[in-house]
Amino acid sequence: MNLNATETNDSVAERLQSSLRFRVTDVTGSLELDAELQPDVPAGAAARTLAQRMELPSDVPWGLRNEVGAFLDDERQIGEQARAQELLTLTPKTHLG
Amino acid sequence: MRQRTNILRNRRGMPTSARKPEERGTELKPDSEVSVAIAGRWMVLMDRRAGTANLPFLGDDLGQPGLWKWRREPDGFCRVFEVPVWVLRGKDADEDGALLTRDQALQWATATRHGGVPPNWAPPTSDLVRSWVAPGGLTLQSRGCVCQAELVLMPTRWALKAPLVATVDPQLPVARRKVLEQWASDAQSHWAMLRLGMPRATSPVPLLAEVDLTGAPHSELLFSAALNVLQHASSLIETANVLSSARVELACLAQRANNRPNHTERTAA
Repeated sequence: MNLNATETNDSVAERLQSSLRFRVTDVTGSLELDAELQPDVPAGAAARTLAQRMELPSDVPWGLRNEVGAFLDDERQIGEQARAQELLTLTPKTHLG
Repeated sequence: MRQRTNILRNRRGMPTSARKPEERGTELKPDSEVSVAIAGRWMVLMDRRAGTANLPFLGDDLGQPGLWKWRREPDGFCRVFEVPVWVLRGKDADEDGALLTRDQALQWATATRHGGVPPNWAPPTSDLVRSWVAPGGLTLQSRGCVCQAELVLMPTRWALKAPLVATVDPQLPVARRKVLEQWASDAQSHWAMLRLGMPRATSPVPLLAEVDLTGAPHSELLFSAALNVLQHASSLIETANVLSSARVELACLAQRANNRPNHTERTAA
């Protein structure tokens, strides 16, 4: 949870200036976009948002994989798990068994 | 009496903050400066002495304690303070303090009317407020837009705020910026408790949404209502970003700027 105990107008501006840009693709590689997100957005929310932007089915649980193929933790902030300009892959979270 | 079926409710079953524009209530307590009325699901205080015909600069209210804000009226703008009636209780005891008495709400409004804070007020503890927020409760998502709200807990401030637009395009034409400001004032007038604005002294300039609970009693229901308001503000993100980007050309606005008549315009009498 983002809890600000030292709020100033400058801290608001700093927080917003630190938006991160990512390159995002779907699993087929045929859809790609550049996304700019607040670093404190949870990765799960980021995945749902990006799926909407790509007009992917909304009834599928989506996750983000980083460049080494690991799923980002949905509950953790995306800024803690991915670096700027990193290529992320939007992947359906389907599990067998 | 059964309520209308078109009332939107959140996950807790609480009525949401959308207010029908035509709602008007019966004045309960006439006062020389502040009137109090119940309008639908809201207790509305109106500062009779503060009003203006022209659109005020909304950013000046950002960071001010309490819920006072400008609301558009047929003949201009007035100052209002809106409290959801479902967080108010009658004379029955409420031991856990989840509900407010009407007097508590009035005292809160009175103390913050000119930027002050009730004496001896302190915000709730962070542990307490954290317990009121569900996982993901501060994430505002609407279709392809997302932003993260922030809970502000300081000795002199308790608020929720979110950047609907991270950076209003500095190249935005003046006319387009005025449209953005008018749209923000309309949205602020529509959503009770919500304030929108662009702060003056920041660079880059964001468009912020906030609900300020500074001075309020420590009520979980009130906080939940505030959070619900902000979550509904997520529906504004997409439009806000379109209006605030100079890269997006809006033909109807460009036509107005160029003073070109089209077949849908009516000439003034």
